Amino acid sequence: MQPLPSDLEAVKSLYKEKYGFSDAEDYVFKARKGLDERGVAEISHLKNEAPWLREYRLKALHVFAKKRMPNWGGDLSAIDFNNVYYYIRPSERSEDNWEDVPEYIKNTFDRLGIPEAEKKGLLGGVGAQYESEVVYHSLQEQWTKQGVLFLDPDSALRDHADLFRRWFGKVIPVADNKFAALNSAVFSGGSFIYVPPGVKVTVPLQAYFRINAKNMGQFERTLIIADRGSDVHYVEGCTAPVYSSDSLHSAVVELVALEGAHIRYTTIQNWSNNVYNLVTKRALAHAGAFVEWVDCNLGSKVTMKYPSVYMVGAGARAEILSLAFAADGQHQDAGGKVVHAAPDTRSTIVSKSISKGRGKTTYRGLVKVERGAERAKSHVQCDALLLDPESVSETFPYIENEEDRATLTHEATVSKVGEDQLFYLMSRGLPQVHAMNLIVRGFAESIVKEMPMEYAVEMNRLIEIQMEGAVG
Amino acid sequence: MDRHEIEAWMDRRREPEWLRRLRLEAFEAYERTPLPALQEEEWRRTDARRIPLGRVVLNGFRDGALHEEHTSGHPAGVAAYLESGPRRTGAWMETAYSKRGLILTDMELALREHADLMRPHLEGSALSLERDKFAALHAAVWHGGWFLRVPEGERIEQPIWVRSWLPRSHRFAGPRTLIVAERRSRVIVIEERESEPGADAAFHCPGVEIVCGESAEVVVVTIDRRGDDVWDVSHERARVGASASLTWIVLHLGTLARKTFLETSLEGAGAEARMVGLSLLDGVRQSDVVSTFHHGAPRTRGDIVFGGVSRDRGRSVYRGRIVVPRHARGTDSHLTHRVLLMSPDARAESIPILEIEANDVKCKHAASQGAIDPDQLFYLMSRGLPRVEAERTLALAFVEDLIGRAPAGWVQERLRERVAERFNR
Repeated sequence: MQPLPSDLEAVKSLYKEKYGFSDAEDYVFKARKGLDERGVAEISHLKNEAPWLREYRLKALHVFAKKRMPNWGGDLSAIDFNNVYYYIRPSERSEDNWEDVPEYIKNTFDRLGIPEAEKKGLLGGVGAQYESEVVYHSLQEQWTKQGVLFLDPDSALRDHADLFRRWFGKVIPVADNKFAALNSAVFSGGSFIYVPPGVKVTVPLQAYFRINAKNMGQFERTLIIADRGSDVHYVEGCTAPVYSSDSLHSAVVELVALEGAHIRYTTIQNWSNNVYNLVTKRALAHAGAFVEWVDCNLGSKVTMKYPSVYMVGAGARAEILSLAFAADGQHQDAGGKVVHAAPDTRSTIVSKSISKGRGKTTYRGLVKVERGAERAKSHVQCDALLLDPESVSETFPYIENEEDRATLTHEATVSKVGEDQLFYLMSRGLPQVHAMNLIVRGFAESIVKEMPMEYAVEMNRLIEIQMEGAVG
Repeated sequence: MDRHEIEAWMDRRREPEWLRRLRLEAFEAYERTPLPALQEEEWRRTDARRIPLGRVVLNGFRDGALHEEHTSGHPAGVAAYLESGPRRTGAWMETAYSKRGLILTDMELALREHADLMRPHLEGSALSLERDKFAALHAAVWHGGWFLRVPEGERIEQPIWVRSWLPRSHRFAGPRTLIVAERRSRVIVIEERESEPGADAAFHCPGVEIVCGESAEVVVVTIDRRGDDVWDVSHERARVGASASLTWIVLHLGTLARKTFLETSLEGAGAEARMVGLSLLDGVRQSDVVSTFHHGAPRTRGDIVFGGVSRDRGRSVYRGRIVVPRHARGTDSHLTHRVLLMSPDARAESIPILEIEANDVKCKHAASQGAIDPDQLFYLMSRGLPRVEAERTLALAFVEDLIGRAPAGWVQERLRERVAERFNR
């Protein structure tokens, strides 16, 4: 192994070197900072949208203005909504040939290693978003032939308006929360996926999100519909340059798993430490459907994100795996929500949080069982690992039960790295820094192992970067 | 109710100046504090606007009229006995103990005779006015209740028994309980709270304070059997000193609707506290309990087991917090919440919370909710027990696991008897 830098600055410079570089701005369109009706109408106009969507955006803007900031969770007091660029268009259109993507953007993604996996055939499709727009989108022929759609929302609205409109905003309504309203007003980019009945997409579809400009706000919108008996795995990753001023990322992700469908949604969140990451993610699981969220949060300044599954059909299943790592100056307020609204539904939430230095992790979760969800079963397991005396961990699980025939269990633990474990590894000749790395990786293992190999390798590498400087 | 009314009331009670000042400060806090809103996390599940604050009156209690001692019959096997209510009907104590300075008496009497002992605890009360409007109300108008003081080094083997009761005529009560166990003392105290049901809703706003001195060993058992017409907002708090140990057992069998705050502060190094709680809910009764274990010193240990059984339309909410600040190294704390739902209309919410700022800790919580195990039910029924009987047996078995954590013998018997009584209604 290469020698390890041992302080915070070193960690920052490592991130900066790998992901935190920035490009000169050479944009087709950059809106002015701030948020008002004119700006929202301008986005809609630039995208040549139908009147209903324009109205939808404007309505959402009013809801956003009316809703109060959450008085719980992370500290959002430093967000200045007037100091954010809500829309930046980096290129004229979304390309389906990598060669046609503007040179500097291509270089960025090359440097991040994004096209590699596609070339190797490990992915079924790739989307790449730079600032507000998707600059590249492709889907392997074998899937297009079977009727799978993997598009950016603008193309979906243009070519499949009925399908899009039928589900858009149905899982997460405008007024769900302040940031969902914000996204509904200014959303741009993201993914639209439709998998026809019975089609099983055997390789993951991947989207990669990149923020480049200072004070950028990225508001992508993702809608995935898995029709009856279909199967799809979506993976998203993200990075941003390191700036001294803050950026805002506020996505809305809606999943619909129809009867017997299976959706797995994997996130590797690695924003730089100047990004507020306030995301609403929710899935509807119909009868016999199975939805999995694998949600890993390593980056950002403050993350507030609670992927949820509403099980509305009998026998639906939900699994939420949440991994959070907060180093100095970070607050990962993550978790998950499951709502059992039908009989014989089952859910599992596993959360692993690691706090380092003055980092703070919060697990916030809800298990709700509605009356009539007979024989519903749910198990929640939250473990927190505190690496330093200043590290902070909070656990707020809510269990609300209206059904006497449901079985619900919850367990949580908080502890530090076991001295006996550390001693054992060090007695075998491992330096302390490697021993700590191993223990933390072991702690995260149950979630990391759920990822495809390539991503698991990447995850372990990211954990290692976060671990830099953990011991002096 | 205004300031003048309170001043006149205090005149009638001939209260000392320092207490008058405390009450007036609290009344000011009461007046400026709004009712807790439904948006406030701890009040989201109980609508404070429904609490019958209109019942609050100042002249409803004894006004310090009573002086004479009754020494009527007392139960066997106890060290001391007190009936606490608007009129005193019974008080008894083993002479040896009273000679050595054990005090068990009504608050009104205690204020006259033991003000010097109580003043530091009342002035430095851990029942914070700022907590909410009801805490301030209690601090302003409390009356009745009782005072127990166990002198330093006194180890009392038999339990101390207190019965608190309120007649139908009293639709408001705000009793204050103060238990002071001095250094190295040992005591088991069991209180049963009762009230006579009336035609309309009653409002109770009690406050309880338990002070465990260094190395004291204290067991406090509360059995609440008040009438099903009572709205109750109660603030109860224990402070546990260095190397002291507190076992706090709370059995909720009565009241229509309750909002109970149970706070345990482990203030000295090596302090230890166990809490066992049980809410038995039937009819349309509801219970909303917030318990907090605050680990304020190194090497403290906490263990909470809270159980709920809901029948009919009973609804229970339990919010249990474990708080470990940075300096509380070596904390070991567990919390378990278990719920048994026995009817389709019963509901329960569990909110176990960990707030940890130190890393040299072991903290755990667990929660489970479910119905009676159908296999166990089938087994009992196959042995000839009717369904109702089998269900009751299994529910009592669920409860037994909690009762088994109380001191064996007299206390456990009493708990069992009271639970069975409620179940058989």
